[in-house]
Amino acid sequence: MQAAMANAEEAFLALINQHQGVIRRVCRSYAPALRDREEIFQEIIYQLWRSFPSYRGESAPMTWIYRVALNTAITALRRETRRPVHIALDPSHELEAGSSNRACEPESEWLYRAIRQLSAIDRALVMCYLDGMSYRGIGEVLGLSEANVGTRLNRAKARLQELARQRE
Amino acid sequence: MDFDTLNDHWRQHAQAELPAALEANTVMAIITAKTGDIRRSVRQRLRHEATYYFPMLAVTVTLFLGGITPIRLAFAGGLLILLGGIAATLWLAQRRIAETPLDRSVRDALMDLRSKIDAAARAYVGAYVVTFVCSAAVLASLVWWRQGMGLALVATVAAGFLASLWSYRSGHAYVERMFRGDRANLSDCLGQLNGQER
Repeated sequence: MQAAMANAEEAFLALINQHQGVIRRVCRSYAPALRDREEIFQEIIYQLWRSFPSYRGESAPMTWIYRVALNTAITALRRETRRPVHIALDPSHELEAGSSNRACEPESEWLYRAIRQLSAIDRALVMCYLDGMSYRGIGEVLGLSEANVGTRLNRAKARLQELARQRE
Repeated sequence: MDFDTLNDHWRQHAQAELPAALEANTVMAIITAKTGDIRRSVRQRLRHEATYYFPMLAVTVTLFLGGITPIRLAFAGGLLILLGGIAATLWLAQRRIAETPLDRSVRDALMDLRSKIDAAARAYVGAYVVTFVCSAAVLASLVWWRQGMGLALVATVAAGFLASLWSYRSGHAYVERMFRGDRANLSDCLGQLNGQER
């Protein structure tokens, strides 16, 4: 019994470490503040652990991790928006500490800031796509048809390109 | 900048910023802490709700000050069963929300969460209304037992009926305030999934 538990822990840890980048990227795309990001990261780890026993490998590990991570981040978003202590001077400014000069901000930081300007669902679509998932895989994660994924993704891409043009 | 360039930035960043591997004890500490957090938040919510109902226990204590009789015992027992039922209903509703599985598609998970929030809201209103209806019924029985049929009984029944109606309305207003934010966010995301623009 203990050996089985230790094996499960080991398998879980290996899976988490293999896909930790995906989890971190989801956190960064849904939470601009470092404190919130860490909170969501821990919540995702907990939710993954909770659903790990029922994960039988029917879907790819990436699909499973994306599902849990996105569901957690999207539902955690409501708690963040309800939190009364954060006072933003300008809601459109989601700046990180140390990135006060937008002209000099790294491309990656700008990209995350642009993604955060999309709706919660479009953010998920774009991230899955950028991480190399197929339309079918994205559809499985979000519960959309492949055709719908294509249409919506084109719209989200156009929005991102528009933001990129505005930046230039 | 075209989308392929953005894609390249994303990939370069993903490869350049590989996070350090997590240790087993760190992961287990996160899980233990989160499990505790969730249990605490369910208990906290239950305690908060219980403060509306537990003053009724004072009635039971007051009853026994005048001595213990079979009728008083039955009344107190009934009250405790009612409060126990309410506490269990609220606990179950809150727990179901906290334990909603999140490993399904975003659409399924959000729909499930929304239906559990609606069920919790119904349970809260139900518990509140049942408390009022039972109290009104007990009061009417007492008046009937002491004074028989008459104007006092009619007035008590009418007041009980109005109080029950009010409890339904105020219960709805309370759960609306409590779950409005969560429900609005879930409906907004589901609307986005269904292609409705915000």
